Amino acid sequence: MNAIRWIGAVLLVGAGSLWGYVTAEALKRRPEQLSSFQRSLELVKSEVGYGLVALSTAWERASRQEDGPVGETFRQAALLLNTGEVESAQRAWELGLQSQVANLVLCREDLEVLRGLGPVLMLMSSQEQCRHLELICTRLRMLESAAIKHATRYAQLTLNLGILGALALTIVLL
Amino acid sequence: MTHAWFDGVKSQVLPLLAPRLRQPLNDWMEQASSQAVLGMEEWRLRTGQPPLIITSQRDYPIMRGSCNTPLMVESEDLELTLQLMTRYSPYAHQEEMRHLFLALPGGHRVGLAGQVLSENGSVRLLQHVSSMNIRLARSVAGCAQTVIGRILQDKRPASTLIISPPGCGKTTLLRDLARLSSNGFDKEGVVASRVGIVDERSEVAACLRGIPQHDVGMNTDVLDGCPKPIGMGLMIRCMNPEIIVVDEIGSPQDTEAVLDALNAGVRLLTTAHGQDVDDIMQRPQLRRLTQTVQFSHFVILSRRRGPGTIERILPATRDARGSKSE
Repeated sequence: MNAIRWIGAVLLVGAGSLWGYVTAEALKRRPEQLSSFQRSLELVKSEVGYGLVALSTAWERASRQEDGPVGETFRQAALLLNTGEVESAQRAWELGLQSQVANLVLCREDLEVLRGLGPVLMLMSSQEQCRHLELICTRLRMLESAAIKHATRYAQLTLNLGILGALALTIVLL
Repeated sequence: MTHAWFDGVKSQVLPLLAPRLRQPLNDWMEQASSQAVLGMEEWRLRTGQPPLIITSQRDYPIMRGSCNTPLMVESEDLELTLQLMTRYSPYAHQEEMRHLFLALPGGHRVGLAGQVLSENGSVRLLQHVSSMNIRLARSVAGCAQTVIGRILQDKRPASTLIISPPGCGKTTLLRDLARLSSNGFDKEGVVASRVGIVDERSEVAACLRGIPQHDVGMNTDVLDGCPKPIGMGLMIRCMNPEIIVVDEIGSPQDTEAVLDALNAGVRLLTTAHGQDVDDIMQRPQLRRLTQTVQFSHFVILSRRRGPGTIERILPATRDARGSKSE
């Protein structure tokens, strides 16, 4: 009976620690992903504004620049454009983003800003597109600096909370 | 039906139409006579109107599948077609769209109409496209073979002005003249020359991302999308051509650039809109050009026996330039 108790206690502490670790990691990865989106969009802006390359090519190049779900978002969107099976670039971007939402650690506010890219892609003038892309990058930059502050404040706290909370609960239950 | 040109149209142009229009047009091409299909010149799409297939014989409105009512083009169809034609990147074609056209793979072209936003007297942006005129390109290799032998000077084509109303095959003839001049043509004793094409509206070589979609010869350099007055000077300085090919001259700037080019000892193959030489002489810039430039020949085209009918090839003597010029 005692053995089962101890096994349960270890599992509880392990689960609590894991929750704390995963949550803290997510808090740390959010600014990284926001920064990664900014870099990709800066590249897209250059390709669109100066190179006047097609959107699918710009997205493919952006996808090669970034690893992980951010690069995958651009890759999926480019793939959809290349197959010509979507009605607009906006739809391709939405679907690309949607395909990676589970792998991204972004909050609702971040995703809203990224979804705001959709209508920009339909603009006819590259200058206007560049201006809007710059605006989106600025908003992402603001979200990133807020995310860094948030991560600094809460990442360690969450990790400790996970471990200590689980320990406290274990003690109470034992 | 299997035909290289038709297969090209089916694989290059049809997939660029909105799906709602694609299938009925494909059905029409499957069912129509081979004469009608091979005679296709244009597809016209207008909002609120049925798609029209223009052939050399007549126009065919496209009907809805089983019921015999016309299929109406909706603005969403044109929007999606534009997205597909520009690979979802209309901004990347804004310079072409400012001139109200788009170049497609295979040398096909699309004329556009819609709401124009202008700035300082020129088109800044075209939006809400309401009409498309898809011009199906047909490179008629060899169509200049009967002409080139008659405009030769020292085994190379002399400066020549091709004159015709729109749709009579000026550009097609000019393209083939460029190809023959570039490759040489033994049968008529034409030696290969360095040819420079200044293709302001991407009609002659029909470049797509810089690559000519038509065969313009192995010894030909193309300056695509460059305004003629600038392009002719640049071409002479950078590529040292023996023959310069430009389509549709007429503006005062064109005239100055052509005069500069000819003073540099380069021969010129070019075109102008008009019924005949008298028409040309009534346009001040072209009159000045023909009076100043030593054009060797005028080639007059019509559609009398179909596009590209060669009406006359006149040596550009003072008589040929007409009494109005005197």
